Amino acid sequence: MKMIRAIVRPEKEDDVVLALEGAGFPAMTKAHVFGRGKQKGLQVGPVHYDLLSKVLLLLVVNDDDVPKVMGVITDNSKTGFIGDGKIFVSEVEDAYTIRTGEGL
Amino acid sequence: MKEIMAIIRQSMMKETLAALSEIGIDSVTVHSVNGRGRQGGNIMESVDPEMKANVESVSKIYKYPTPSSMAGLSKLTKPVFWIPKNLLTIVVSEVPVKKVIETIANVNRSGRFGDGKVFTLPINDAVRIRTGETGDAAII
Repeated sequence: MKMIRAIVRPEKEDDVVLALEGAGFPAMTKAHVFGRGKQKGLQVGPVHYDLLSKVLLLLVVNDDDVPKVMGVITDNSKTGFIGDGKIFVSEVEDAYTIRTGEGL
Repeated sequence: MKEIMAIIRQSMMKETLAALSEIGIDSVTVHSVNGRGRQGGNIMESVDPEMKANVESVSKIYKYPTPSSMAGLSKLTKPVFWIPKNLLTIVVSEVPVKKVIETIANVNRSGRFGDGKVFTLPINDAVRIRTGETGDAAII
């Protein structure tokens, strides 16, 4: 099992979520976060934005589904400009459903 | 060292924290997040204003199709796409992982959809910033 953490543009959130739902991955967690990348924020004229608003999507999927999910996320969050976001994949050892007690 | 990520109902925070401190876990990070599970959210039937106290009992969960795909089909139902949840992250080294998961699960189990999930992830290292200790010493 793998945990996928995707940091995407807030305006692209709906596209990504609907596409994931269509691909069969309706279960996810989202959080509104602030962050910056290699460019250290954004310079618009005299104004410097240190941290930019992003949406963090968190999914746990089977190993086989990882490329598919990553493809769906990249296809739908890509604009080609700086600030499109990142996807991180990490190992999950165990998942446990509280309601049924499955997986322990 | 293991990281335990638990997604639980916001209303169960107090009970969960109390149960965790009983087994010796006092350090917890809490995020307020929105989430949904395999059901893709929830459908809330529109309620007679006089029945406000009873909202829980008339909220229905359909298995398939997902609520979002049914959005707008009926005037009587309204989809709830994102359900507010709390995400707890706990890094443990001496308390057994299984005990922590069982404690969280026993407190939060109501038998209805939306009780939450618990994930365990490996953690390579930890540092206590104040003293510079690393490894297990940083989290004990």
